[in-house]
Amino acid sequence: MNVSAATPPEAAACVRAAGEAGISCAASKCGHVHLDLRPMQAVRFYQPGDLTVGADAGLTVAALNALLAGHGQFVPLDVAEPERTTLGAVLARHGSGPLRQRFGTVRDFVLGLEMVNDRGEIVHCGGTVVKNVAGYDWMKLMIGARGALGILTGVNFKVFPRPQGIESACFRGLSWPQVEAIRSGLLHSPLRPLAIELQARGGERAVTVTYAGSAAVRGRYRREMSRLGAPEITEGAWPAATPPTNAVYPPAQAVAALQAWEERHQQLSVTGRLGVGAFHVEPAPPPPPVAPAAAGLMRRLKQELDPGGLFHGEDCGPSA
Amino acid sequence: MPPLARLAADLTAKLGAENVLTDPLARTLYEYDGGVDRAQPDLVVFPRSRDQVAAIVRAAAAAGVPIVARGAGTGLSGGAVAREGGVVVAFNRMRRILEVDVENARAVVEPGVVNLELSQSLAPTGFYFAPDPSSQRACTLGGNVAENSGGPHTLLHGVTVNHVTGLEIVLADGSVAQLGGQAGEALPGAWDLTGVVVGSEGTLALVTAVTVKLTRLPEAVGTLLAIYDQVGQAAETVTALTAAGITPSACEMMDGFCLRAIEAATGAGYPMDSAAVLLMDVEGLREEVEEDAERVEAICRAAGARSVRRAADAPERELLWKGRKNAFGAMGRISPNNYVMDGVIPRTRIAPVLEEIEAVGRRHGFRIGNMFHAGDGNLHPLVFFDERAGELPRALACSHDIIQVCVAAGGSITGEHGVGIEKQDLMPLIFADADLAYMERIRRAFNPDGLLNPNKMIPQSRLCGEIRGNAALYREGL
Repeated sequence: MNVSAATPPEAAACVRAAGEAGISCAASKCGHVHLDLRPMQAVRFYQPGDLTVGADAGLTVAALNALLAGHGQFVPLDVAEPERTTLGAVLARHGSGPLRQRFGTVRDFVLGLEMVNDRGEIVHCGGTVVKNVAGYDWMKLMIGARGALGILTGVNFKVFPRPQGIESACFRGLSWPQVEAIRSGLLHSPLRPLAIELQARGGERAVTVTYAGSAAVRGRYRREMSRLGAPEITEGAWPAATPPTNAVYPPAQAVAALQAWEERHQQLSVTGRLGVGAFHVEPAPPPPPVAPAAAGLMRRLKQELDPGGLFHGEDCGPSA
Repeated sequence: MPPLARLAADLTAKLGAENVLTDPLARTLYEYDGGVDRAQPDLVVFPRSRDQVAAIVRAAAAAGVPIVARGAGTGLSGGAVAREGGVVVAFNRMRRILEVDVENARAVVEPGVVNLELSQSLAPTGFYFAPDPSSQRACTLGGNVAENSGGPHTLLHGVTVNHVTGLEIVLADGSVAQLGGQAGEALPGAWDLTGVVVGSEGTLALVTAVTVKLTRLPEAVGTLLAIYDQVGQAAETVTALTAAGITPSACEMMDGFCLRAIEAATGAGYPMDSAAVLLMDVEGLREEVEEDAERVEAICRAAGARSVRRAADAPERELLWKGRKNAFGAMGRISPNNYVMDGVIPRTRIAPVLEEIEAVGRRHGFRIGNMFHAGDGNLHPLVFFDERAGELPRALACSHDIIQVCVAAGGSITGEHGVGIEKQDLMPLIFADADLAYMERIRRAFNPDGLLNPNKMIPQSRLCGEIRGNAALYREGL
């Protein structure tokens, strides 16, 4: 059953009704009740001078960034399909993109969260200011939990000045050792690129480094880049979004792991973050197992925070 | 044998007599932290390994005795104070750096490692640990994790949680769990438990190892000191910097009152006659630092700075920072006691909020000093008082009103010091009943018997009998 909610109280009422009926509820197609939050699109506040913004979870990433662009600001959420992807979905899936190299993931710039819990109550965590350690930071628990513990209805972000003078350097025709040499070379350099992206497909490998700054800063980057090879420079190009991460490695072990995987899968396709070791890989390698003690803690949290098993998260976290 | 004596004997057998303090006089050293709350623990133990921590927790839990973790005791909110008695687990003897993995920009350390010592030992690699609380010469990584500590340079680099990728923890039942640890994001099916434990103030688990992210030392750093005749001009500069899209790596404000005491104590070269200064760092490539320093200087002057000094070299930079880093020690010159608060406000509201705070001080009869992380709106108002004159209760009442001013401005009751005992009863200023009840449920999932750092963070009046449970029984049994 599809139900739309235009406000947090409407979402809460829907969760209470599902709870009373003893059926599951999700902001994805997983639950008996599919709670569609897309009508919930209000911008709750925007303080350009404080670099803070708060919005409903149903607002899309593209709509939020269109608003922020008016003040030369943005949230560095360069996920695929930003026109269709809601803020709630980015949080639930812990979505990220190439800019993660510089800005971290959404975990690093969410300031506050509003959620409907298993009792149909609207609960809040964090706040609206850029620094805050009051109370448990259960925002972290919800980011990436895929809706398994509640329905996210609102979020406050720290926003950033949008980088000016963007440029990229693309190294093509690389061997795996050359890819690793670029990764390590950048790690030990004083450079702080916005993105370091690997693209590998059918034996062809390229690395694109994106950076920004004045002409003098870009000139410095070009000189440093030429020490790592002979890149092709493109002005004004933002890094392209990629499909969601499905393979994570310690960065220094990533190239060896991908090379080994390629030996088993000639048609390997890889896109993703060379600097942080997070990729979308086809065919996907098996995910690493969750340590048993951590899995036990997740079960206890699910049992405590959703004892009735009301929330059926997308890909469904542990069930009660 | 009474349960406590039995526990003491048991832990002495497990850890050795040299790692267990039972003597009342020795225990008094562990009854306080850097804040104002005091309570004497019944036992203090010094584990040397994760397995010893697990054994301590199992034994204490079996005896129904509260367990309070402690690092260097530099916290300012009573987080390490055993207010319900019990065992203080002091991590000072677990201070090994277990692994430095430069290629993956990470290190694994024991919780007793001192913050600054970690960065100093990493220096030859060209990397460091970015969070730099003012107490960094003494405070430990375990304490930083518990409090989610900040510091001046978190403006650019983020607070502790942004630099911790994994934890090894001992749970309330004495079992061990490995959380995170990989540089990557959580994949489907793995929740960010690390992020929940950071900042949980010792109430969810004891941390026995921390995986930290290492940050590359910048190629260049520029340090600027902007000097103002009016506090409002300094506040205006902060707003203008943000509007111009400049993020200094640090942006500290000191008012004239604090400044004069600091200068007298440290000789850092601060002007004795100004109303306020901003101490700012910009960092990055040489080219970036040159440009940013020029832009920052222009913005300071446009906002009315009387002069802007730029440190010519590293020794001058260190001297300027020496004043700020030793500032709290210098406050003793102003009055016998001071009470430092930790409110956060939107950074565009600094000027009016500082005026309101001054008015609150006048109302209570106290002089208020200000030196704080202006760039992120994290205020540290200082109430100067004399405890011997019986002024502490009035100073606390004044502080409470100051925090209310921050909350009314849309801010928070703590930016980096934590809630602990100090701000436990202020939590309802920013959280509704349902929010606090949800936090209780999270605590219950980790710490069902309530023995880990009991009676902290969540207001006690809220706690139902079930969660007060064992800690309350323990106290009544004494």
